[in-house]
Amino acid sequence: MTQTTPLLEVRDLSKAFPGVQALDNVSFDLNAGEVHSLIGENGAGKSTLLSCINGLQKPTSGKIYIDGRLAAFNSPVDAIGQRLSMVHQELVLCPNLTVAENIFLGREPKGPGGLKDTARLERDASDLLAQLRVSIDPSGKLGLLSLNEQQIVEICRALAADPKVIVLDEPTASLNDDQVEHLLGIIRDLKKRGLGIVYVSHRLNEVLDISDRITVLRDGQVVATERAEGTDRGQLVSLMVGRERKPGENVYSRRELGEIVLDAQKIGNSHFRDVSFSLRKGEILGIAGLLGCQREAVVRSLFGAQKIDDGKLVVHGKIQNFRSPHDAIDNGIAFMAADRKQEGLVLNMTVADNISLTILDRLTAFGFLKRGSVLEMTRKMIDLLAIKVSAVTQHVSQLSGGNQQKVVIGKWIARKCDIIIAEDPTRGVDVGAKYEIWRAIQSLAEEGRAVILLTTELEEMMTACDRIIVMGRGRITGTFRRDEFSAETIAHRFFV
Amino acid sequence: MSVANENLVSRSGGLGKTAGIWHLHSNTINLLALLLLLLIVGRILSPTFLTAENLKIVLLAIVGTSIIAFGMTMVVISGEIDLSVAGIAVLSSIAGAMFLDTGSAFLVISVTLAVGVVLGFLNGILVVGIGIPSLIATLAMLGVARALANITSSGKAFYPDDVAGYLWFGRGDIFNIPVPIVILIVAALLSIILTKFTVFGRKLYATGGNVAAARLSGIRTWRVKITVFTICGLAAAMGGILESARLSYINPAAFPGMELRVLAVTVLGGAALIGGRGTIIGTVLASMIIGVINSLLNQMGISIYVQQVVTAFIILAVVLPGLKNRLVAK
Repeated sequence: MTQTTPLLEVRDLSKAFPGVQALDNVSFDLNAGEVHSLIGENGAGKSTLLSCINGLQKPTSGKIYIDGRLAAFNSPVDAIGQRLSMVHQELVLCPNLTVAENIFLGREPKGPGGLKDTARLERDASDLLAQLRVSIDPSGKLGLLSLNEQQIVEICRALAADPKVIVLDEPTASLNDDQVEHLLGIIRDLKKRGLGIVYVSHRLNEVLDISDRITVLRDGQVVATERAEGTDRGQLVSLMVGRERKPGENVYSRRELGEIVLDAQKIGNSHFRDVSFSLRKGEILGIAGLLGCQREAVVRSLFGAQKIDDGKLVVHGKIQNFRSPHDAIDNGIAFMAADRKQEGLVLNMTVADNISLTILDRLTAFGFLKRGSVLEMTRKMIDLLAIKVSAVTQHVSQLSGGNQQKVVIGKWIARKCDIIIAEDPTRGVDVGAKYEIWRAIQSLAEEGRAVILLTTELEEMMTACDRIIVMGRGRITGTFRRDEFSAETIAHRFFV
Repeated sequence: MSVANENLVSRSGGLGKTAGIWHLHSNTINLLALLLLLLIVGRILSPTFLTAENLKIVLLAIVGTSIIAFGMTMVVISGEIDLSVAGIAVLSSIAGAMFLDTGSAFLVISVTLAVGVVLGFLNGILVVGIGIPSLIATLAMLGVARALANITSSGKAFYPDDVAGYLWFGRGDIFNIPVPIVILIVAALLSIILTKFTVFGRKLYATGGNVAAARLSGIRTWRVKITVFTICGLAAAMGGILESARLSYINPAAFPGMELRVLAVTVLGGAALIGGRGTIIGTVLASMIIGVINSLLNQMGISIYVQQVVTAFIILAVVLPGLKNRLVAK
């Protein structure tokens, strides 16, 4: 690459919060037609750096240059004006508006007399969508699109401002493998058009795949900026965590399986049908499948959060039809929801409150909460799972993703359920915490609990499970024992 | 993770280190400071302001609103709203008044409270059972209850002058303390215990904080919501009794706009309409602040309408900085 002025240059940026140096003299640059990835464990300072770049926060010191000119952003709007757009990790779109309206939200082309010019809006939107080579109807409601398509609309929205720099924050966090491939294709196209792309992701394989350069942050400092060619996963991980560690490996242990604790016999409802499988004491069973395969609906129905209309569900030898999660929990079933912020935690409550949520009725004397018992139990759980908190009364919203996930796991360990459904327990969690979470799930199985596991990454599932069943379009399309595991043959069953 | 969100939380007071049973939210401390300031201002403006006699008058004026606001606070913490409180207060009082002829205060009071409980329970059923948003369900309840009060009484008021036991609730004394104030204190203590020290309280905050997470943790959130609507109905009936007994006048057109005054006190006290936040202590303080302001303005001879404007501005002034913190990232 020739030595030109970088599109974006961050020079000696520091940001201090009370008691924390979130960023410490960070320098970072991005050239036209380049993908520069930013990686680091949760809490390494990625989010803070992005907020400073995009004007959401003001750095304590340091400078940001765009195209060689000093830029001072007071808000994301300023940043967009200087042709820097950000695509957020969590979708920030209006599901009730059309695709075209979302793409041009706040920048709608005006027709005669200031009226909205729907025809032009949709024409412009289809142009943008066509540039990304996707066939999405610009006049359709956004809410009807799949998550993947919504993500693409979000990228179109960023492109609508005609940016030179696009910042993508974890764009693939909730996508499955082939959707990721599609998105990476789009990013390569953007790169060819000369845009500069800042890419943030926990998924190291795709980072290595898409990037020209990779910058690793740790504890608010740049540890290294490497060319993607010539580095590998292991090297990146050791840079991120500061030592060599292989995540997810060596945690598997062979266990004696006991009697059948849960037996689904041709269960079905409006989302899935003819689903049959059994689960043994001490077993870790994975359910694999692409988005829309309805495995989430199956596990929710086991937990009483959805109704089962057909077939029989036998739990501990008794036929059950749970009317609510409360019933399922009474029968020893636990459910660790993937979306910890929406379904797993009450964010404005404390760690102790959250961990005790599943066993409130056991921590009571005449209706009064036994505060001492709650705190004691919470401390035990914090030790057991190595949860990093400043106090048991810290709000869970202040914890990092990995520690939040450990709280979700902790609240179910506290309940001592013997059937545990874990939905994507490591979503958005950094490498170090991932290892500890897999370790915790293995030890639950070692203690004789039965685990049903859903993860987005097949690789993780193959590392952790004794057996994997594959689902496609609401039906079981294959079953694999551990000695039969192969990513290729399993993935093949996705499309049956 | 959104940075704005992190700020929201760190600003809301519960930083953890000091959190304990007696931990007060920063909002509560602000309210306490404002109340003390107002009392000092009152003392400066009028030497008789801080006398027991005057404070008694101030408290008596806020008893009804406060007790109903305790119920409202719980409903709001659960993530719902109850606009029917004035309707419930009126209809339950009128229903009780139907039994004034028996001369039995016990019967009148029991019927009033029972009707309040039933109407509150009905609100709960409409909201969780049928799934009508609480704003709409309780607005309908407000209209129906007020109308029914007028229909059953033919629009005529009742005068419970002959039922001494009923009047005692408005004018009696216990150890020289007016009965309404004793009931206010008892109601506040019970509400604090319920929200802060019981398992039900934890379930309440969890339900309002994140209904999906609470449900998936095995909490029967529908039960929690029905319970708080029922408590709110009971509180509305109790508030109705105390006000009617004080005035010795049970009027089918009573308490106009009461729901908004109650809601104002609840919000001023720190309860968030999105649920999960709010304290009874905050509501108590907010209610006292409004009472003291009104008393001060009264003594200064300012008209009731100007008082309402002033009260509204004070609510905005107290609530706004908090809102700004939530909306603007530092």
